[in-house]
Amino acid sequence: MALINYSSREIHCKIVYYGTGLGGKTTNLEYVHKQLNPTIRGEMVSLNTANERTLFFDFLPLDLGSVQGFRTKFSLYTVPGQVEYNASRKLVLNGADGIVFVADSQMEKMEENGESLKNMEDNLSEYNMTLDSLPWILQYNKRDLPNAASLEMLERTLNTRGVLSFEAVAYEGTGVFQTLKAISKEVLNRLT
Amino acid sequence: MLNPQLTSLIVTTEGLKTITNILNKLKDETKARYIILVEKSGQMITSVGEETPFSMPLSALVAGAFASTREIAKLLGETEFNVMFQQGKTRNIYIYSLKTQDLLTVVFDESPMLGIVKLKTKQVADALGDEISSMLHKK
Repeated sequence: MALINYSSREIHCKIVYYGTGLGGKTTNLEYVHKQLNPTIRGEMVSLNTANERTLFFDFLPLDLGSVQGFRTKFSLYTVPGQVEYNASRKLVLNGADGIVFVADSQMEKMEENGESLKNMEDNLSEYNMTLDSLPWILQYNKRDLPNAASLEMLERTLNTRGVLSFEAVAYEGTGVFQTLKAISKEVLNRLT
Repeated sequence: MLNPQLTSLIVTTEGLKTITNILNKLKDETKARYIILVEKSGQMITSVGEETPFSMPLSALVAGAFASTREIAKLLGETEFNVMFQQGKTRNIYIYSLKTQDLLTVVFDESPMLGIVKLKTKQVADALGDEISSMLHKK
């Protein structure tokens, strides 16, 4: 949950990018890091395995302007998508103010997406949170691939709660900032 | 108006003043380069001493590393390890988990100071934990 510092007039929020392995969570953060001016973003930290997969998390701090006289600072985290790293995923979720679920649009990944979403709910429940108690949105990544499932199918399968959803091609930046803008807005709306 | 129900920690000006006084005294007594107080989810509450441009990633990494050792402790049948120490050639970092599970992080140069750091950190831990708890209860 957010940290509000009345002394420095700052609000600190934590947003977690969740989803299946190789779904594009790190790519989202890398694109944001690459595009933003260094004055409003910090250095990106990645804790990777030897073969460049996320081992623990990626971290990117951002300064997203002022709201009601408070500077808003967002910490973006990713979780490791690989099934075996569930303990790490659970730890990163601690204190999350908002979640972006990055779904892999490929038809053959539909089952994995569903499992990952279920896993996210299970891990949230360990912190007494549910998908109804905190802001979260969906990003359908890899929309450029020929084997991508239809938007209608993704919505029907993954978006049973009717949350905001965005189509994306993260490596080229499509949908990345729309997603970030939407989740940060949802998080701040809950706080004010 | 901010909704206090949705925040875990509201850092008040008075609370921060008390915390900063405690941390500054600890810094002087331990000759620490800087001390960072990290909220358990990885956000920095405050810091004293040398300015470091890495305070945000450092806070995130400290919280991550400590969360990991907490899980290791559980696997070994411990409730938690409340201390973590890393020794480098020139820099050392000593992390103490407060009763609120927030992390008092002391960065210092001289390894002979370790004993003092351990002692003084433990001495202020309760006062810091109480101050953070009182800010939590203000929500």
